[in-house]
Amino acid sequence: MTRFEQSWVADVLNAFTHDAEPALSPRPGEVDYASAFVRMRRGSTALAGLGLRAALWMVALAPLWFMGRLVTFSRLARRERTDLLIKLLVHRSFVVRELTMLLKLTAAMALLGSVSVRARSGYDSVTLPALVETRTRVQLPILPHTTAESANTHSDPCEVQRVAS
Amino acid sequence: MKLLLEDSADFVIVGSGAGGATAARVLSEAGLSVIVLEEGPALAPSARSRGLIDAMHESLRDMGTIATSGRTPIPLLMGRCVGGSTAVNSGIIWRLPEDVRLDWSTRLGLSELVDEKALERNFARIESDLGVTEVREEMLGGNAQRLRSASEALGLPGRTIRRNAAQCQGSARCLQGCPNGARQSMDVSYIPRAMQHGARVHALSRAHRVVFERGRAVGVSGVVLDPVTRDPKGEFRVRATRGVISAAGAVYTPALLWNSGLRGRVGEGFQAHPGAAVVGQFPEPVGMGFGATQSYEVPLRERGYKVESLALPPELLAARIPGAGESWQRDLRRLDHFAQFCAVHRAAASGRVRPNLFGDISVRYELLPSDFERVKQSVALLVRLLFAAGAVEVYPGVASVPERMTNPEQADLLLSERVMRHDFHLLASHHFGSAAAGASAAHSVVGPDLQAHDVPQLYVMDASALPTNLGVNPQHTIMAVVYGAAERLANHDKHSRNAA
Repeated sequence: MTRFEQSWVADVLNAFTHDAEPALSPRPGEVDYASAFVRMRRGSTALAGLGLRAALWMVALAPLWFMGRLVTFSRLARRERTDLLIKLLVHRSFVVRELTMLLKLTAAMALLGSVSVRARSGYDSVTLPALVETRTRVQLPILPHTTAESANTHSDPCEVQRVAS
Repeated sequence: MKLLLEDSADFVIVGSGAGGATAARVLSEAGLSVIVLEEGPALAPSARSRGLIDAMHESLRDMGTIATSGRTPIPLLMGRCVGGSTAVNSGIIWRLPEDVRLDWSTRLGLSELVDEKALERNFARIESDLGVTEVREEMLGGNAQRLRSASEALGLPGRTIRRNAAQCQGSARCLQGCPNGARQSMDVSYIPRAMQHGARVHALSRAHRVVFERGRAVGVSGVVLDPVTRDPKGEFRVRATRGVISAAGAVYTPALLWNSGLRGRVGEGFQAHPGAAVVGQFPEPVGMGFGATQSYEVPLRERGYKVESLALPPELLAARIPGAGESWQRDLRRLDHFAQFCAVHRAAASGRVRPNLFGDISVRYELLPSDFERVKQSVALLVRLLFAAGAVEVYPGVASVPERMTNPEQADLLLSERVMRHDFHLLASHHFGSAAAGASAAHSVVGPDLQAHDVPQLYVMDASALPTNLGVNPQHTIMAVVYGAAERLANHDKHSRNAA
């Protein structure tokens, strides 16, 4: 991604939340939106990754095509940014709605992926004490060369692993 | 690319989900040597991530972004780790409905594959192996309790779900992978059992094509993936002396067969169970974050769908709540006040799976008008159920109706002719029929023994061999059908060797 795209990611995903009390109020640095965006894009199919990038451009340029103002999203006031996203989420065009929703999903992944924000959301408030037993469960007998932990065990990539039948 | 792995066995199985693991278990216990190839990693239960973005990256194929092509795409969820989709589903166990069994048996000539007594025996064995039982009362969770009270209030036939997780601890993390190993997905049940009998599992190994010699399937070639980047880092070649079994699921089995040069009906007849979900906000805490992810259901087979409670991880729940900014954040601060019910549909629509030019998969699939009518009716029912359970606001997630409904009469708006297919968000996690079994080579890909009509020693043992969708969760049917077919294959192999 280019530098201005990275800047758009931060501005757009941040705009889904709003720092007014008594809201969830992510603190500065508490939520890594850029990392979530990159991980979503890299982990997706090529088409979905392209869609995520297209969504970013669509929203970044929405002041132009939706509001008729010759500025990018980043030039809008905070309140205007959020209001624009709310309108795009219910836009009559399926494509606009879905692409904006893709960005909202990414923002939610980043926001609730933060342990401290999740704790403040109350999602985990209901737990069941005492009734739950905690004995050790079945462990998967993993072949040594197939685990993520053993990423460095292929010390010589030229060596062919031959398994006797 | 460098050759990193060579191996050989009697049978090579591509995929470690419900079909592949069951075949591996049966064949290895019969004394045959077995190799299982799995594209995803092996993940110990304790290593499962709690955060959704990590969990999806680890165990969901392309983070759940593969979707049907067409005007209104439907995402197709598939597991990609040892255990396949059984490691990321809710462990719901349903036997094959009798009407479907009779249809396959009489219309498609599959009486041996779905013989009533043999299936009964296999279902019972699997249920015993996996400890299948109804969800315990204390593990229902607030989400399911509300569906139970709502279905009772509306006079609908609800019941507690039967699952393969007798020791469930209520972490509500089925979709990320059970962190306790309580759900008996294939990675903690049949795969270890097969390995105890000598089966070898090669994870992070993506099969590209089946290798043929003199018209017979004799092996599989593909690439070994880097555990961190998932980029190809070398090739593998595995040889099968007695057969190759494709069990990569109803989307990737046809792709593997197609890439291997098979044509005919390969990829045709794809079916699914598209699902829709509705969220409601309650005045009191619901506690979606505790309990089995899915534990109560209302089977409405005569209407063509089934209603279920479905707890969401907080990230997905947040995305399902309407709006942005201050009001959204205010709702997120009360994330324990929401419940979600979903409906899965036995859609009559049929599609087609093909590899595309970009090395990905193309799944052409569009709902029929009758399917869509059913979706509208089921979503309207979900709205009514949430209000009956005590919700003060309901979010249908349908573009052309109010995004926040405040009374049950608004459910009727969903039945309007103005509500269009592209107004809905659907998702499908059950896929079928893309390499279907049948007696006729002109209308199916594999025969009643699940061996390809045209290619000796090539078998399909997963949901793609099931000729139609079921209207119920498919894991148990896949396992029971494969169990029987693999037993017959092992017996046939044994007799052939004795005769020789």
